[in-house]
Amino acid sequence: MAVGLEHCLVVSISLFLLGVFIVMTQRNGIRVLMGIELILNAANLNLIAFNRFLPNTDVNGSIFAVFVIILAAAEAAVALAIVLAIYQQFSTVNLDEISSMKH
Amino acid sequence: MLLTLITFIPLIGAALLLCVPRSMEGAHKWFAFGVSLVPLILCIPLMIVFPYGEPGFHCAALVSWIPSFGIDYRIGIDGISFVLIILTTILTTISIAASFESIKEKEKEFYFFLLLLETGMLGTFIALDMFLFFVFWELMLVPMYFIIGVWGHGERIYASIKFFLYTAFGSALMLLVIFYLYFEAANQLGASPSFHFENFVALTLDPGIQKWLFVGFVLAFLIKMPLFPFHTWLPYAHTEAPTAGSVLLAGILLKSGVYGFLRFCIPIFPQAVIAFSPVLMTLAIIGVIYGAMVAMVQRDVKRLVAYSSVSHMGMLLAGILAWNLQGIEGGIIQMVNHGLSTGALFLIVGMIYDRRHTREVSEFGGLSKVMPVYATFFMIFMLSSIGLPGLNGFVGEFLILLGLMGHSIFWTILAATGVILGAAYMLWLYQRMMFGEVKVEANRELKDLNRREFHILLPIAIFCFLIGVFPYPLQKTLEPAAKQIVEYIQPHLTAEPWLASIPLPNENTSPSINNESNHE
Amino acid sequence: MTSIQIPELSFSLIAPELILCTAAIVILLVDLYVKNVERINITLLALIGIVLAFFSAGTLYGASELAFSWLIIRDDMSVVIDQIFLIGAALIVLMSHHYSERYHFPYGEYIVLLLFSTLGMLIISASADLITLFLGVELVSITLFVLTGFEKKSLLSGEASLKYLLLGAFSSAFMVYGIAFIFGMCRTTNLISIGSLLSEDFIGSPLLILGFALLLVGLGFKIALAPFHMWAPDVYQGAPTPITAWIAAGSKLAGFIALVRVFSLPDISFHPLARTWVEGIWWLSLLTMIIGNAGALVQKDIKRMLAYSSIAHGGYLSMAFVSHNDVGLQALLFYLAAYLFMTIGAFAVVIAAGRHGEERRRISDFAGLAKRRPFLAAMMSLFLLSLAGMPPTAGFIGKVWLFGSAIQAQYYGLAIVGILTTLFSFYYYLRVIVYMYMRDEEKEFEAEPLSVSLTLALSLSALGVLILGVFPNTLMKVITNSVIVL
Repeated sequence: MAVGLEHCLVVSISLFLLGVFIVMTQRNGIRVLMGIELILNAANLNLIAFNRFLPNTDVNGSIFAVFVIILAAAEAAVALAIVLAIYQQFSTVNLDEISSMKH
Repeated sequence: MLLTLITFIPLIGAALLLCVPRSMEGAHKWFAFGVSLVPLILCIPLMIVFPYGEPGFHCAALVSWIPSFGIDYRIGIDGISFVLIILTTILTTISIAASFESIKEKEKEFYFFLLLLETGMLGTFIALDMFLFFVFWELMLVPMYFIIGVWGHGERIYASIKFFLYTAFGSALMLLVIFYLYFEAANQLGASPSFHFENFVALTLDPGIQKWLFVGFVLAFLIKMPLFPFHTWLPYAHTEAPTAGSVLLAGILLKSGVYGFLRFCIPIFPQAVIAFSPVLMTLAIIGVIYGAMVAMVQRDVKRLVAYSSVSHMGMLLAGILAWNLQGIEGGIIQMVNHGLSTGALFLIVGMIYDRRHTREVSEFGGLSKVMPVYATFFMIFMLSSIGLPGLNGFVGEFLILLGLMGHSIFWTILAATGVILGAAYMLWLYQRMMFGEVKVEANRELKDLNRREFHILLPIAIFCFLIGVFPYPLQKTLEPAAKQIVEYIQPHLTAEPWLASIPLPNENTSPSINNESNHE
Repeated sequence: MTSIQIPELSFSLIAPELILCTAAIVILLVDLYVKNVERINITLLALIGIVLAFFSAGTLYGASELAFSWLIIRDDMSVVIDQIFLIGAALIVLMSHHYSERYHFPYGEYIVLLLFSTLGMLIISASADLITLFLGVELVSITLFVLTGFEKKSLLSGEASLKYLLLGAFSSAFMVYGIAFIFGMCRTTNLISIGSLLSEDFIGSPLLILGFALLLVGLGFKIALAPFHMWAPDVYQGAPTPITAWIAAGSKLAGFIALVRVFSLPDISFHPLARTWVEGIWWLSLLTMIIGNAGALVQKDIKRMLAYSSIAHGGYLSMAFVSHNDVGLQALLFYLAAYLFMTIGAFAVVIAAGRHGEERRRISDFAGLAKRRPFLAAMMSLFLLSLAGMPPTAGFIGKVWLFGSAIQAQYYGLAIVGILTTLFSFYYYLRVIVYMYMRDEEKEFEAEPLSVSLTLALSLSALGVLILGVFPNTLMKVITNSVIVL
């Protein structure tokens, strides 16, 4: 069976939903980040699939995917640094326990 | 140019006042006093150039301000604004002088806000562009808020916020309506959009929509006036404000409500005004009687005067709603009178408060023996407030009742009841405070008015007598403007079926105003 | 195989961006290689870069060109917005100069990040393609995540940074996912092409609407529209105060400009799709105004209060997208400029009111400020009254213009809600004034004296608020022209 656009879209949407689900349910900062990465990759898959399977597209889709990958890496780098700093202060990365704001 | 100078000199003065260093104690009040004298003196050339008895707007000026929106600095005055400008400059100078000893802290800010307020008040009376008017209208709000909140007494914070929110609520709705009219004018007139109020007057508005617009628009003015159910901010603001604040609040700010009603509401929404006038009239008369009744039972002198304001303002509006020349002229004259006499009464109360730090009526008694000059002034202003013939109050009240008579006997009787009640609470107040034995020891030592206080009250007293004995110049000044208002409203009066049953006063047969001045 | 064509590169069109980027890199190198560089020198370098960028932007008026293979659009609107951003950045640099002295954080890196975030904003304003737009948004976000966590010793700062990061990244992911759908349906990421495509024939695909909706949600997070606003109060409270100001003013502005670039596509107004998102934004705007103002009513911390007020302002600003007319767009641009000045000014006062180790951030801390620091209290009152929309301040003109646009588009309900919520807002703005002027302080507090840089920032903001309020015409004319060109 040849892989078509629909297959890619279905996979991408499952990845997206999975990512959103993780972000919503997980309280661990690192896991939430992983969920976000899933969403980003779902988007990448989409971009490349559209670029590959649809006629008359410009190559922007693939270029965009490259940009997203780079930015995701940058974001991850910053995120891990911040999470590390947080861990030093709070000794936890559980989001529910990191709450010192007075309302 | 003259008008612009009069309006903006206080603002410039306020800015300069900020540059006077805080260390120079006592300099601020004299500086502010000096600044406030300038517009007052500039009123003299204004009085010379003003063409009395001619209709329309004079001393006009037009400078483009925000052309992308069609907002202009468009100013001009007719009789009503002319009189109110003079009243404003006089009362501001007086209230600055009256604060010399009662304001002891943050003097710089106090006089800054007073001068800012003066610009706001004057601007309100000269603006003919709705946007400009709104800017000045809001400009009055902030300084007054500070004056009440910072230098007031007792529950000043509550009073100031209540004042601010009530008035801001009204003006917010007014702004919405102004914008609706602006876009409507751009649609209907096709010309480049403008906030010139005569453009709005030229609009033909569907009666159904007009009613809604009117309600949104008039509320700002009714709150400021204040008309009966919207008056609840007033006793607080008046009572807690420092003397200067009360004087300007009663003397000018309340008038700006009536002024807005006359200048903008009536010409722009004539049908809606007519349609709502039974409601307004009812509320006004309720205000007259309610205000008087509540004033009667007050123990606090200042609160009493505040409630008397509610009563007087109701009376004044009732006169305007009679929709004839006498009523409207009476209403306008009463604006001046109320500004003078109530302003003076607040000064009087402030003076005794400065001495005793209480305003309880029961704390006083027999003051006429201790302070004869004070008692005399009090008597003059009290009688002027009651409307004794020979004093200014009489002219206004008489014309209002005359106008009401031409409108409906029923309302006249009720309004007259208010007048009688007014006499009752004022006389009773005077009797309790001034006559009898000195009961409280502290009162025995009270000093009579000093020179400064005497000179503050004297000019107001002179005006009271002048207007009372010789009202003709004032009437002459106001007549064209009042006629103009009658002309706006008259064609719609007959068209409105509910009014058909009421006999309209005939201009020729009703007693003319000049006869009235012969009465005296 | 065809040879690769190198597209024409018109560097002069992106001169402001290049200058700013150069300045940032120079500062980075100076900070790296020069030992013990004085903070004042870094500040001056940054200011020089910003000023140069400002003037080079000024020379670009009337350009109206697409460049770099249609990635960049240089129209008058982008120039105006660039200049507004740059003014804001300069004010923030001035504030940071004072603030960093108080907390001794690595100043060079801080300024570099600040300049890069400004660069991101400039890129957003000039983007004609979803790629550049996304790049700009990410540049702004990532630098701000780091800047938020800059106060390493403060627990609040770290917490704020983490929250900002997680929600920011989440919203970016939404954006990308939305963009992927838009690309799939339109087969291009270029905004101009998308615009003309949509106006020619409506591709009634639900995926397209989904794409735009996801993009809206993503940007909605960035500008803290309710219900995507939860992060804002915490982040505002925790971030170093100059950064809070920059998030409130700069980042919010950038988000709105991104929305303008996407949702004011040429010819889009005739499009049936326009109705859909106008309706969507109508609800968002309504909700944001109500939630923002209601939230601000109960706050005790001034930064949280300003955060909610900033959310509320997002609601007013998004009204412009609902009215979806020229007037709305003009009003939006004007109000953004006005909002920048008053917000930055208010936060500058918050900085000035405190001192090292004792930030005066509770509203009750402001009691008696008028007596102790009359200048600060007067400034704060000015900014708060402007935020509340009292004449004669910039906030008044801006608000009036925005509400006017809604009335012109006959969204009376929204305008009335806007005005009523504005009335609510008076209460909490006045509360601060009440504390400053009408209550006495509980205990003596000796604040550090005003530094030159902070005084400068305060006075410039105040000047901006007043000039835009009394003589708004200059900016208005520029804005009106720029929107017509669009």
